[in-house]
Amino acid sequence: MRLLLVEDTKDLADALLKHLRQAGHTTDHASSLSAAEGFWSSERDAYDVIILDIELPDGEGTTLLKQVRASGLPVGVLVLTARSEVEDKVYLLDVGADDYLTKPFVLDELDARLRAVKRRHIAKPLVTKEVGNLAYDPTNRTLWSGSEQLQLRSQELKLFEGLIQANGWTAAKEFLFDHLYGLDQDASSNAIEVHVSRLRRKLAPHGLDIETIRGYGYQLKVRSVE
Amino acid sequence: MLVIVSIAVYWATNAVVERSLREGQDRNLQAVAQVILDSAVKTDGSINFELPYQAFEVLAYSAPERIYYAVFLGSEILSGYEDIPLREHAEASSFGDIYRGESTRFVVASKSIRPGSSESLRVVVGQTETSYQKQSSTIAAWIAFAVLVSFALLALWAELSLRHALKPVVAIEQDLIERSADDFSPIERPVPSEVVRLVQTLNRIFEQHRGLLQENRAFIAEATHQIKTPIAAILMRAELLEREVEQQSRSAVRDLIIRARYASKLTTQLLMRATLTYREVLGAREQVDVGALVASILRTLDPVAEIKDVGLVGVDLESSDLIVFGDRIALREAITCLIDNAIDYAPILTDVEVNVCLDDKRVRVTVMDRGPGIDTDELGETFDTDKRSSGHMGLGLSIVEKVAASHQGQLCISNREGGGTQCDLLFAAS
Repeated sequence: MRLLLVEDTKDLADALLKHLRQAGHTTDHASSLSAAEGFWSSERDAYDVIILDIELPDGEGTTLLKQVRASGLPVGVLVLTARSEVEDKVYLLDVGADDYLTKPFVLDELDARLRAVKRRHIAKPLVTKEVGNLAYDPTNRTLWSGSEQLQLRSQELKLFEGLIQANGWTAAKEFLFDHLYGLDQDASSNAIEVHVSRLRRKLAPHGLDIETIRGYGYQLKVRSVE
Repeated sequence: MLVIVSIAVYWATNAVVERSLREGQDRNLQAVAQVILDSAVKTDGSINFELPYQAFEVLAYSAPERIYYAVFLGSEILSGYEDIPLREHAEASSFGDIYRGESTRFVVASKSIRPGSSESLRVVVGQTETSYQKQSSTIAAWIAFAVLVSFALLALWAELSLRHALKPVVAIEQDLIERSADDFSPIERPVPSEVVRLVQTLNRIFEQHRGLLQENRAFIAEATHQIKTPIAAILMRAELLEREVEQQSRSAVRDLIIRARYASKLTTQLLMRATLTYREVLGAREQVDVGALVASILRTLDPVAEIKDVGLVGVDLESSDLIVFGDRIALREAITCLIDNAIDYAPILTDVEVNVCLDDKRVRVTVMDRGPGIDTDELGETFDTDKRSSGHMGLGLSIVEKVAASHQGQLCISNREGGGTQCDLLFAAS
């Protein structure tokens, strides 16, 4: 992802930049509102998500947030705030933030929220793989029911991908396990069952079932209309 | 009060008028008696006198009363009614008595027949006084009525004047009732000079309160920023360090991260508690759809649950009957605390289930995890924040309890069958 990090606290910004770049995101850094506005005006089409601190030395981060929303561009905004008052958070969502992270936060949560914010601003593509009533976009890894995007977690998405790769046939449990965790990652033996159960719950309202083939694996089935 | 005053006025007026009429009657009777006395002439040893019929007629015209007279020489009656009760009032020049069944007024006039003689001629003239008494009662009643009406009109006028005078005060009271709890703007309504000082004092108090609240909010916001930002930097650096250090140092860094997270959580909860106290003072209340609120909280917390690989399952969140009249922000925080805590304690690959339902006119929010449960000794006790502060939820429990208490709600914590904790938060349904 191409990111713009707007954060004035040097220690925090350094640590965040290091983490984001290690995670493979191309990240620009602005330590003031004016610098952030400079980045935004010169490269507004480039960013997927802006990580925006609210308390900046030369103004409020909401000023930039309003400019981003006024542009109408599909850019996600994840606000970083040290404020504890929920009214402030509700206000931030009202003025167009996609999500907020209250300082201090853990990096895993930052990653999870970045993914969720990014997903929100992906437009439904023209070319998708149809699975029953659902449409899967392999490029952006999103699943759609009509114009509504299903909110699948990372592991659930991987599982769904593993199931549709079987192309209507049964996907072996070992294959799904490797697809989810890779060969060198530890996971408990019932992890697949748990994720299948969660995914089953999310797909059921859309006419898709995951059938258990005892002793072998799982099969994705389109429920027949009675 | 008016009736008492009227009775008193009637009584006093009656007494004065009766006395005045009686004096007039006495003078008339005295004149008649004097005329009889003056006409008395002694001729050949006998006493002759004329009865003044014209004077009697004048008396009869002035009031429709019976007239009596008697002329005595010494104790011997010469003419008139001999049973007039003169003996009982021998010394009086006038007196009243019941004569022949009627209240009658008598006047006595006398003169000596011869100079130096003790024998005297006495004339007694009497007149019944029924019409005088009636007249006096009527006059007194009219005066009392006039007083009554005057007083009633006066009271009405006083009431209207008072209402008119209090109108601005009542309008100010209505303004104060209608304004929201956090509205400390000055009263700008034009008021009469009598209440200007009251309004000025109220405005000064508003100004002081607004200043204090703003100062308090600014302090909380500033303190939050000042405390949380360095903790965030420590936490992040420690997380990056954890990835870089050798295996043997990793557990020490991990320990640092856990402590920093705990400090961060406590700071957040501490400041949240202060915020909730402030909001309670404001009394911000509205109709809150608890189903929609929980659905929104689940969306916010899903990435947190995803990191731990804990499922977050919401059941029955669509019902529109799940309305609570309360502070949306406070309710959100309390429910968030419960779910966040359940995620913290839920083992990996298990689900945290959140259910909202209507339970006997109460909205019940149930949060269930498959964590270690809580010490059975603590179950059934009133939850004591101090006792539990180092345990299951930190200050979170104190926040949930505070919100429950301010919404006449209830928090029940129990162990689940099959392991885990169940928290039920109940609020009166709106």
